[in-house]
Amino acid sequence: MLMVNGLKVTYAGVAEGLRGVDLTVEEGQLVTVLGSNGAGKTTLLRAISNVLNAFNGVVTAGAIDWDGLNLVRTRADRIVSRGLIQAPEGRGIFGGLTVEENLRVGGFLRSRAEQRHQQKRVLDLFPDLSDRLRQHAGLLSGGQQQMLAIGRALMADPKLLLLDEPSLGLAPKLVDDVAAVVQQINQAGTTVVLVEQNASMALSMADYAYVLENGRVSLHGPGAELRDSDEVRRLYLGQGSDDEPDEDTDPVFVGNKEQS
Amino acid sequence: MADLLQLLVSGLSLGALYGLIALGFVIVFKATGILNFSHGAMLLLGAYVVTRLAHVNFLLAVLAGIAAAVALNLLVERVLVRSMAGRSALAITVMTIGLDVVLMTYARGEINTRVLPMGDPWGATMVSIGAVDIPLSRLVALVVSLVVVAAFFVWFKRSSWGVAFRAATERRDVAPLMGIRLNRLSVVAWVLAGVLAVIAGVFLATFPSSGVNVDLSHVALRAFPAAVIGGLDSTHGAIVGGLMIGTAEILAQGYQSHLEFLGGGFHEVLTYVLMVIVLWFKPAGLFGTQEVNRV
Amino acid sequence: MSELVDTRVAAPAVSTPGARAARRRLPPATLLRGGGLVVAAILVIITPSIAGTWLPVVMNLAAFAVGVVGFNLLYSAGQLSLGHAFFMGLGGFSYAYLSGQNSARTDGLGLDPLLAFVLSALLVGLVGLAFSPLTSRLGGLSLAAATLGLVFLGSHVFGMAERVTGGTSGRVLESMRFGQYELYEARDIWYFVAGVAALAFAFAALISRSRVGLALEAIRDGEHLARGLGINVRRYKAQAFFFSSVYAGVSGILIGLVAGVLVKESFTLYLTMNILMMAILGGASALVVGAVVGTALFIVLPELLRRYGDAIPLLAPEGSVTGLTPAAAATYLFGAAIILILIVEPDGLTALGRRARIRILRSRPRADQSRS
Ligand SMILES: Nc1ncnc2c1ncn2[C@@H]1O[C@H](COP(=O)(O)OP(=O)(O)OP(=O)(O)O)[C@@H](O)[C@H]1O
Ligand SMILES: [Mg+2]
Repeated sequence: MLMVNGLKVTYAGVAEGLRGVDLTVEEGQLVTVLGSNGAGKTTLLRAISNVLNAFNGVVTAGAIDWDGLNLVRTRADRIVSRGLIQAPEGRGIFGGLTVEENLRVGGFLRSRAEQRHQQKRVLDLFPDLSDRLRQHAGLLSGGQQQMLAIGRALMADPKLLLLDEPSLGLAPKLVDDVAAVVQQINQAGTTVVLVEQNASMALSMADYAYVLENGRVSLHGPGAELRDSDEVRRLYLGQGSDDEPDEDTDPVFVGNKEQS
Repeated sequence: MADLLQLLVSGLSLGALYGLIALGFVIVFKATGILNFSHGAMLLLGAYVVTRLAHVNFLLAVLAGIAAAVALNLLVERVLVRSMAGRSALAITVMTIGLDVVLMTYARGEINTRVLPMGDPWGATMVSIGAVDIPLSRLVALVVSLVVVAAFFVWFKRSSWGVAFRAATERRDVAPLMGIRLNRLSVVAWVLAGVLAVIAGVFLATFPSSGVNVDLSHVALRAFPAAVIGGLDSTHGAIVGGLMIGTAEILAQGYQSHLEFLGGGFHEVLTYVLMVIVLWFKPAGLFGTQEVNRV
Repeated sequence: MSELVDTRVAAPAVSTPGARAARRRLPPATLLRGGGLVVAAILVIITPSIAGTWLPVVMNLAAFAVGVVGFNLLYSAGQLSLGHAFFMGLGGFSYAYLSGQNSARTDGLGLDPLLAFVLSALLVGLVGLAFSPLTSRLGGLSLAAATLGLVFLGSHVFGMAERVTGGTSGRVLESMRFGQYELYEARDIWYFVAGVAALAFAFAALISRSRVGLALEAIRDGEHLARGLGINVRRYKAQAFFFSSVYAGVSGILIGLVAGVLVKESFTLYLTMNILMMAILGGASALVVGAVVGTALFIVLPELLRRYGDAIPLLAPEGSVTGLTPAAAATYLFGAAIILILIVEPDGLTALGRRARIRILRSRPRADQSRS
């Protein structure tokens, strides 16, 4: 179980990345984190993977606990070796390396045997990649690169997978493909935190959803409920609603006014 | 013709050594983004250790020299470079210049004006291949460098660490998410650079050179253009650049009498001429992918 | 990039209410600066009478400081140029050639020394500009590579041009002359060197406050960023390289005038390293003050060790083959100091001083508060 409590992050000593975030992900769940640009979604994932220092960011308050492991004080490579894997925003594939090498890097901390096993699994999931193993990853199409980024993350056989906007810049058809893959991975037993701006895609499959706004959780609830919530429909699904909001079925509304 | 062949072999042999040194510059640059100006001093100190122990056993002495340079480089990486984490590449580069000053002052105190013989088993033996007479030491240098370079590239292309190294130099921000420790890569780079430097240093001081003197670090500095010509972020560029300038230097030396209008000792600055010319037309070097603008 | 962060960290420290209050009580900065200038002027005037045997040392200090300012111009813009030795030699030997006479060993044009001085400085600037297609395209570190080549090429060229440089035995320089008045007494040479240095310092201060200075600062913080701000990065880098070369050239001439003779062996990589150490010691971001502080330390300390080394137990006498000579001891100290400074405060001793001052300023108002 992943538990984030009162997490605050500051960049370069000044810019506020997160202003107090609480979030819980149960084992086996698919949890989505929504929010507009600059809301702090990527910052949250960086904090969980403990790579903020590379971006001049620090956790100034709060705690992140994953199955008893204090992630704020655990080195990034230890976190990876325990099976908490992130596929970063913008895919971040190694364009100068071949597809196969990209996959190898994904399994960097795993044994050769495990790598071979995982690679088979990845190529079964993304048959497109198996014809292109020797090709430079920079030459792949955007969709293939996204598949490679997810595949690379799977190489480490994740227990908990963090995906940062995998639908970014993909055609609708490909977004559906990605959604299907994510669901498949989750159903195979991997816990997934899916950061998305594509709310309809994310909510259609999420067990639970959080909405970040300005570094805080403004709204959270089960995926289906959030999808029906007026607030989310108006802001993220592009559907206006004239109906009065129904207080009873509304998810927990935290509100983003200054509270502290 | 035999002359030319002879010169070419000597040139390639020297060039391969330059390539090893240049590779050391490139690896550290790729891993940390800095130019290591203490590389030449490290080479000199490693070679110095070899000369002190060579009377026991040459091979052991070489291993000891390598160990000394590696230990020193490790110390530098862990203590000096690491404590400057977050500072600009420029500042760290200048720090290595300060380090070079300290190490060279030490070396000058130890070696003084002496020329210390390397004590290698090849001596001044010559071998004839067809019409060409070549010092055995040059041939050994060529073979050893080629083997070392080949081993490096196998490691770089095939091993997990090699692949990780290439991944990390491409996307420093993403590599940690794969479990790669950038600090470790930096250590690996400095260690490799130390090994390569001492191997090159040993052969630079064997016949026809008479041994180790303090100017050996300057010879190493002549390899710096090799790295720049090939492109500071290109490993194979370092080797190509090294072979280029080594061959050019030996040819210029061999045909000195035809080049008198360029002044005596021109071959010693030829590498810098080549570097300036290459930079003029290709600021990133022949195989470099980026201008060295990481400040 | 780190410098960017550094300034951000330092900025709030200065503008804390306490520091602001404390600063109000200090004399305004301009007054302080004006006072400093007056003191400096008085010092320059009385130096010949109080310096005694230290006068040559002080003269060297001024001559070298000009070159260090030239180095700082580039370095503070994130450009590491190692070509200083070359440009210094070029300046010195150009002056020697233009002002010198034909003799058995050397050639010369016999121009008026003052004219030769100006022409040499310009010539060095032009050579600097000639390299600008190269230098302005290269970033911080590959500039270091290219200019490193320049030093070795320069040594070679100086070696070839024996009739200009005087070969291995060097070349005696023509004294500076104003009409009939020849400056060959140490006092007169000092006034000339100090005058030129003062002009050079003032002009450097002007440059750093001008558009060029601002542009260079932006370039240091990131070339792409600067380009984004509409700054013509190449042009400003070329300008900086031009000025830097001129400063190096002038410094070379002054060094020659002080010594009376120039030897080509002085203009090797060692000279560049020394200039660099002076710059880093003082702190390149304090263009002039840093240069003076760094140069003073670098030139005075070895001299102290040389003169009073007997009193220090560990030191061997100068020129001895074994043991720690004063020169080696000084080099150790400086090398280590460079490393330490870069680790602790890349902006050098002047920045350390500035930091200390800020800390004092910050601690003072606290005392005030407890009183009220
Ligand atoms: N490296 C950084 N340095 C300084 N501030 C940063 C840095 N990275 C992010 N921020 C700031 O932190 C806040 C949160 O950014 P973050 O990248 O987490 O948002 P996001 O929700 O992922 O946005 P997007 O949907 O655009 O990816 C923003 O205000 C951003 O400007
Ligand atoms: Mg983001």
